[in-house]
Amino acid sequence: MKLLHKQTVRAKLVIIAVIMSTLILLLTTVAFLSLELYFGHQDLNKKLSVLGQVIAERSTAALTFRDEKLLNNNLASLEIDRSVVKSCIYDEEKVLIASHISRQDLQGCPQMMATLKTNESPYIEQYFPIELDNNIIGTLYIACHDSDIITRFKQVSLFSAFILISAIIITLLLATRLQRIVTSPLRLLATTIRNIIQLNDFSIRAHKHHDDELGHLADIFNELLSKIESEHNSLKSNEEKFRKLTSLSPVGIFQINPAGEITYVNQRWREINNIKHKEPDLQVWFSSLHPEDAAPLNKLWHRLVTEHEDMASEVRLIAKNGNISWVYIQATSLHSKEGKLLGFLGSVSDISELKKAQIQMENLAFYDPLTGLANRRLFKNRLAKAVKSVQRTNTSIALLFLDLDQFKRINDTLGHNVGDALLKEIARRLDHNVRENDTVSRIGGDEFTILLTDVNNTNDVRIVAEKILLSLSRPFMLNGQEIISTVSIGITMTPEDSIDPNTLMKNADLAMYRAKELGRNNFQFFSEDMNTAILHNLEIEKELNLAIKRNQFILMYQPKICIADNTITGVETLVRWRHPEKGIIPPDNFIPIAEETGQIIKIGAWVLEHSCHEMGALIREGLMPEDSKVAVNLSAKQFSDPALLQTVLDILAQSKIDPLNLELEITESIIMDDVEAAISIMEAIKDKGINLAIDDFGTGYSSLAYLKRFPIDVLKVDRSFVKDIPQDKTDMAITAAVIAMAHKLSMRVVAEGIETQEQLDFLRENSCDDGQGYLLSRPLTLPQLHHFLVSHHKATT
Amino acid sequence: MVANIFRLTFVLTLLSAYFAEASERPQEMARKANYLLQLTKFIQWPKALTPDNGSIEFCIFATTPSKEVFQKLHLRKSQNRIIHMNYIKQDRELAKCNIVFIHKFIPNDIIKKNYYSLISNNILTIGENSSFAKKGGIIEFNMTDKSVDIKINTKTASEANIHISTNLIEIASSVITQGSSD
Repeated sequence: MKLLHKQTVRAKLVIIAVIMSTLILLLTTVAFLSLELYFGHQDLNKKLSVLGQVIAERSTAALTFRDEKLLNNNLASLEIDRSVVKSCIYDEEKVLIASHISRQDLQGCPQMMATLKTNESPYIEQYFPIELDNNIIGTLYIACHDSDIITRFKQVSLFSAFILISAIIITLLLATRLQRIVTSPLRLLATTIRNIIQLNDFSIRAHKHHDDELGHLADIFNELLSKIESEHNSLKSNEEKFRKLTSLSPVGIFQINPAGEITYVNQRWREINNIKHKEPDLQVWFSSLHPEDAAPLNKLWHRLVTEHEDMASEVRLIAKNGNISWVYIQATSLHSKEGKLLGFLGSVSDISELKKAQIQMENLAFYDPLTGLANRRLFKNRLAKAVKSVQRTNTSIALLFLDLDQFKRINDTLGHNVGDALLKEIARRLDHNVRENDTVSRIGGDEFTILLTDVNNTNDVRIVAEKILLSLSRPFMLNGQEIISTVSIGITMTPEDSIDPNTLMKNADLAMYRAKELGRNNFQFFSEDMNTAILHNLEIEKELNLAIKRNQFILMYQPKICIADNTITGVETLVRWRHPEKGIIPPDNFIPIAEETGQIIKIGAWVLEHSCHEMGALIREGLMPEDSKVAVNLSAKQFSDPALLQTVLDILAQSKIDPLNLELEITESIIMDDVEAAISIMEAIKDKGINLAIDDFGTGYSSLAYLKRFPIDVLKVDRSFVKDIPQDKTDMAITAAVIAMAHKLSMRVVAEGIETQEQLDFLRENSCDDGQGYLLSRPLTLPQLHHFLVSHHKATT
Repeated sequence: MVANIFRLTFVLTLLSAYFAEASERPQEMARKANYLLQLTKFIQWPKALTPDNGSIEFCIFATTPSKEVFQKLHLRKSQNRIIHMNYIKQDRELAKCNIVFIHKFIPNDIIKKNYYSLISNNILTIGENSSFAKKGGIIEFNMTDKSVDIKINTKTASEANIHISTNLIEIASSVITQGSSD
């Protein structure tokens, strides 16, 4: 059967037809010959039977009357049939009476019938009873041979064989003709397909010769061709579009067959890879990779080829002239609908410029452009890594938080350029004082951090901190000016203080503030009590929220007296917190916290509203002069609140007092944070007719250059200058100068903290306009103020 | 006188027959009787005369020597019919017979004399005398050492409306188809 499968359809058809015909004919012949043999024997038996019966019948009388001659004659008559070999007649006693033997038989008839070897002889034998009047009077035995039948069988067999061979030859001829009928259209179909493949012409069609199954096959094949032609045209069109698209593409495109050979690249690919004319080769391309990128890309490529996993990577290519270019390569595997791998398609983009920009961006993102130090982000990354490393290696690291003391003053007074130069120099000195593997970063305007790794104990850190303080304590020569700048350092250790980077930053910050509080130019290690202070502040913040809701604030008013004529010119509103458990809490204990948390906005608005209302009432009652002023302090947060002016105007409208009766006090430090913005805000307030005062003047490094630009009505001399009068001549000189300068700038001057008559006298002598202090009046509640005003009014009149 | 002469001849004949018969051996007689029985099996009488269940009346003359041998045939069956032995003394008794055996001691004239009666009564006549068949008898029967010699007058048989089997005719040494009882 395997052999048959290997044959052509033509051969198969012929072989099958011949085999089938031969088998059928053989079967027919065998059946025919068998029947011939069978019926030959049947006929012989019948003939023998008839002859026997006739002879038996005819021999009745002869046997009865022992007419042996007749009996022999009867038997001799059987000679007419050549097949009869011998015949015997036995009497009733089974004794031979008559017999007739042919020449072919050598044995003859035995004397006794019992000795006849029936079925042992090669003959066909039959026994016929000879009956008379229903009694068997003898037996006729006839034996004959079947040589005639065999001869006839042989002749028929010979003839059948002849017929069989003739039939096979005819079948062979017919099958050959038949296979031509079947295979000829198939061969034509195959020729058509071969032509289509060779000429790549799908417009060729198969010819239909007959309207039979093969003709139908040709029709179906043509239909298929039409479909393929349509698909092919569409494919060609798409391919043309693809080629055009890729030729115009700014991206290099390549196609690789499953054997790993580049089968297509567009012009851009050649440009990127600097291959103009040569045939592109994948191995050559791989050899142009930067050594650092070759192994990772090979790994990705291997996964693409073996597991058909999409790949994308940025790699560097080294040109022959040594130039390095960055490319972004992407590749994916292509599969047929059946999932068979067709190859790989990929793109290459030149990202050299992008990479350059990216590196710049990374530098910007991770480094401070001014000092070149790591910025906050990079520092936090390194801190996080260092903390993890500490956990693994069981070592310690130290985080130093540095804040320049009074840097703002330097920046404002000497200009940003000097400030920047100072920062750069400080950065240089800091970097110089640490090891190479330590990190110095600038995380904000004048804030630096240092990460010291592999620290053995706090003493190591202390040494470094002292070195830094010493290094920075040396004067800086910038633009020909000698500048002295100090720094406050907060230090925290890990894992002793915390293993959380954010907590460490906070700890160091807290420690730095403690250093500031302790007089600047020193370093402080973080301790838990700093956290306690923070927790205290958090509690205050929570209670402040309740206080706002429950109106736990009260207002105190400290009268301002005209030093020249002792008249009341106004009051300064002071806020107090009447805590249900802790009693009266002074503003210094909660205002900074409220300022930090933003609660000051609400508290400030409450203070302003109530102050204006109560002042309006007093003026309307005539207890306060119509031009008297209520001074309300503004915090930094309030001052920078964009809604401030509108809030103030709304309150003025509600309380029905003139803007002239309101005076807003701003500290020097608030203004100096951003002078230009402060001027703008102050001018807006001033435009509405509201008075402005600078509080605590003399403590905030105000520049006189700026001072003249401020739309200020009042300067309040800080109590620190007043308190040492008359003992401190310098303070007296400064106070006198400030009063004089203010007057020159058309500002009124209010001296705070007047506690002695000497102080009052000095101020009067120096033409200070108004005074405020315990000597004149302590801060009063509204009823007390009411009483004070009444009493004062009576006294003056 | 003629009658006396006839009677004398008859007696002499009987006597000669008697002596002749007496000379035959008993075995031969038995064989003869058996052959006669076998002969009956090749004969067919008209149906109307001899119904299937009827008997075959076998007659011999009472003067036949060793007639007791023939008694063996009495009540034997042939063609499924029972044979009755009859011993007749007078010619007129022939009418009741189906078969008449005429011993060789009895002259053939008896056939001639009773020919019409024999024919009309469909009687098979079997005789031993030579020319019995020629003289109008139907079967002339003579025993040899091993076999028998039979002659058959088919003409007489046909006239007596008796059918004789061709097998029997075939073994006949002579078949007479011409002539008569004259």
